[in-house]
Amino acid sequence: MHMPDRDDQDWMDALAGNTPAGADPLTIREAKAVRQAMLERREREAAPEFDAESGLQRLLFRLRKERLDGARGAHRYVALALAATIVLAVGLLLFLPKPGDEERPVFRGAEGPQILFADDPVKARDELKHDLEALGLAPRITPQEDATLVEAPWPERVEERHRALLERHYLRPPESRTLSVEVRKRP
Amino acid sequence: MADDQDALNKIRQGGQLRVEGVSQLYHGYSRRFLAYFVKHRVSREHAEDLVQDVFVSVVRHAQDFRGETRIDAWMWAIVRNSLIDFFRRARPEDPFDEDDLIAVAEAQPGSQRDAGAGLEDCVRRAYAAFTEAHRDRAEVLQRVAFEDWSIADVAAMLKRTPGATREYLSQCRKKLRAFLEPCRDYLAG
Repeated sequence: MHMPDRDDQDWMDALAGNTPAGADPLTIREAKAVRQAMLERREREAAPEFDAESGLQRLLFRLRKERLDGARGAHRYVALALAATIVLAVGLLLFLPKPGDEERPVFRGAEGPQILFADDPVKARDELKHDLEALGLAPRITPQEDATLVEAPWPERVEERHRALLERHYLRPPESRTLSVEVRKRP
Repeated sequence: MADDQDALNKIRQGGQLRVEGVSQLYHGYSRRFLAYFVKHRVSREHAEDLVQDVFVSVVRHAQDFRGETRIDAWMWAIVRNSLIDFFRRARPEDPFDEDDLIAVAEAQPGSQRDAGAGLEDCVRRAYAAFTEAHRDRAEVLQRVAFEDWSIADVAAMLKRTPGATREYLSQCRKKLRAFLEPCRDYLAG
């Protein structure tokens, strides 16, 4: 079996741009010539065209979908949440209105805004606003310290054009009747 | 590297910080990862999916990273494994060379024999032919040549011991030398 030796190490060092003392001159010459060829090729090879921003939004959407967004406190307070759920369930059983009673109210949990990162947040905000208006949804724009909040009422009956808007802007369907999006400058 | 550590720390925090950390790493590395997959002849569509898979894996395993190597070496190991898994799924019946990440059936013998005009030209052709035949080895040599990777970093990417990695690098040089044969006279001159 071929054993790596000092000459191989010298060759690697020279490939990395160094000149190891005591190395065989032919080894150095070869490594430097290869390094030059590598450098030229590296400079010539253009990276593929790539819309990083769209890719990032897709990724963030997928992380949320797979519950890998690490929503704060979600995993730390599981036991507390479970205990609270049990208490709530017992309470409901004890105090549930009987059939025929008035319809009880449904409480929806508060949902934070979705985050949309953009190289040009003004343009992203305007595009989202335009698309919402085109669907007859009146968006409300609220400037914040380092973001812009875009909110719009979300219909109960969601049609294909609403789903298309969400997909276009890499947003998830809101859990409530309000679409809430924070547009931020990409870090 | 300090930026990578900062990003990974944010990812570990979760919530909005995780979003920031993921964004940092994504903007720093996604294009290079995509180029790596495309160079290994993965279709553009699949390459983009693989890039997504890599970052999902980074998030999933962020807590497991212990800092024994550079963060980029750790991520490149994930990239490489993603490519290996992709090839195995695509052609499970073909024997597969993990050292070169090509199916044995696809491997072509080096055909560069024209020395060209002058040392630079000869070595340029030789390296081009070597890269075509041994894409993954060429990638590893790039890391060593231009990104200051140590044996430990390469070992992390290849998931091998340092000793096995030295042997791998020695083999890289040996295979490249086969392509450099026509350039011997120029090199000796």
